[in-house]
Amino acid sequence: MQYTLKHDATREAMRRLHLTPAKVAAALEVSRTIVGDWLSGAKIPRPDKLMRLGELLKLSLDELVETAAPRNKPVIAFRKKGNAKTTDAHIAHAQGMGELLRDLVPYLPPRPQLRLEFSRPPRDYRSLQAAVDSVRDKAGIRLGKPLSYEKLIGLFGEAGAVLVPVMWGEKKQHQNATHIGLPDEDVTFILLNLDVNLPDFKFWMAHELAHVYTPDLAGKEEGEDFADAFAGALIYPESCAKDGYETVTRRSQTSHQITALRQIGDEFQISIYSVYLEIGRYAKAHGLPQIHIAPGALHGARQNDNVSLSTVREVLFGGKVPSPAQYIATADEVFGNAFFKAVKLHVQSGAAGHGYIQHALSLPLVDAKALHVELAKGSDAVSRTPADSIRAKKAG
Amino acid sequence: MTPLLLDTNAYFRLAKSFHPLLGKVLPASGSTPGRVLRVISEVDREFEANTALMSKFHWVAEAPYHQNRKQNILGLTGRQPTLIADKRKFIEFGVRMSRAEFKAKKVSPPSPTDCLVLAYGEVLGIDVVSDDGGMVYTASTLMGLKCGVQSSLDVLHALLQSNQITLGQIRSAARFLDYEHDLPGSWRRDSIKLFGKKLP
Repeated sequence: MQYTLKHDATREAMRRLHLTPAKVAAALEVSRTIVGDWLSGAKIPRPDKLMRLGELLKLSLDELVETAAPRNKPVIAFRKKGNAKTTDAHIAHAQGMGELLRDLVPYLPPRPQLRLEFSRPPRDYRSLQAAVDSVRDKAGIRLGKPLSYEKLIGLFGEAGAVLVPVMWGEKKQHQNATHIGLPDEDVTFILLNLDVNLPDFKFWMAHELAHVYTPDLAGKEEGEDFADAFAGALIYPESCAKDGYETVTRRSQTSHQITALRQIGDEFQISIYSVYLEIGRYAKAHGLPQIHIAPGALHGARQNDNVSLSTVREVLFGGKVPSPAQYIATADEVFGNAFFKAVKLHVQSGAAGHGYIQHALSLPLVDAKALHVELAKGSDAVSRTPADSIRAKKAG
Repeated sequence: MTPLLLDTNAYFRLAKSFHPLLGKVLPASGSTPGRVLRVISEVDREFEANTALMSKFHWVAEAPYHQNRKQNILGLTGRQPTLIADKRKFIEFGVRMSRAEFKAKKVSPPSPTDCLVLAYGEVLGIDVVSDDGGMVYTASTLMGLKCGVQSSLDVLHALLQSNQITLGQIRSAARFLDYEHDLPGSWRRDSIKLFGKKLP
């Protein structure tokens, strides 16, 4: 991020306080030329001088400094939870995480050069299904068969995206998946909250995969709409929805239809709501009568499902609280990427303390500390902190 | 009594082995006045978040430690909160603008909470206890703060001198930190000078 002094505010404060450039230079122990350069915009003060200048001119940081949008700002796409609004604060928070995750890029393995991208994302049902068929075919998923987590994770790997499983707790944050793209580095980090139930998790993963395939739409409403449509179609495509439609319409009673939807949801490990939506889209695209189930009945059935279903965290760790080592090993084995290997290398370089882990992954301090200790094992990185040499230099 | 503020990591390193840590007084020595160990409220809040991992650090949430922190949170008066908030913004901004410098020096940038600890130090003119290179670099070089940064071993030395802790306790803490790969370099380097023995 670049910054400059707000020249009008700076000059006005100097005038108000009867400070000449020479007086400012003397107060801050810099040359008059330097002050001239600051005022002309030729140079910017170092952080220490900037703070002292603020003190001298009685200006806050916001009053003193103009920041320009960085050229390589992390691109954020949130998966909204329910009706929660994606706020500027969420985006700023995720961008801060992105700036930290950028440090890991040198430690990541090379990304695949040939990656699938939709330059013009399909909008209509027919084109969307064709796109989904090509993706499923690429992943080797047989027609009419469920998309397994293994295949889904494989698709992320082929797309060069880095999956980062996190445990943010249920309903604790608005987002259950956060997409952070670094355009210049050509890397996308996707943080997936493991504290959601399995069917929703598959949908969110598919939603994030859509963002990976459409980098130009990340952060835009259009991108969110496409990701929703793509995710639904990927986890329950037309060929499956056709069978599902026939199965459900064979039953006349709503309760039996809901049972059928639930059975399909269980088979595909997706939510009953996703099944219902995709069957509806299939019917609409083919001009068939819609299946009408009152929102309350469907919602009630879905809620019951949610209660009885385990979260991803519970499934992965057998309902137990994982140790840092178990969490790291599971993340690497299940999500098949080198994220924590990269973090380990960064920690062992000495440039990442627990604060780095805490803020890069938005974790509680205690968990970050535990992870840091685990990742520092096998090196003397922590004990050879350069604090002493800096102290020594200062003393000298 | 002048407060001496611990950053998050210094608290983690010392609080269990030397409980009750906060409130302990480092006696006056030469021109240095007597000082009392404190934390800021935000450091305490950091330990209250729900955790997801099993670790050896859950002791921080246990009642005796929680109570010790609550009783030793540094209070602020008058305009101090405003001044500290203002300085925190400058420090965080400086850290954010200087990420390349931290990377080049292979030190971790201070977290927002630790930037706040430094802001307290700057505004109140009190020293901070930290072993982290990023904290020392930020205070001494990047921001040129008025506060000093002392190592946790300096604190233990002062407590040993005033017979509040024993060398055995320090050795035991050093062994634990070494086992946990969390022993600061200053402990190895300065232990002979301060205690006549190499730690751990």
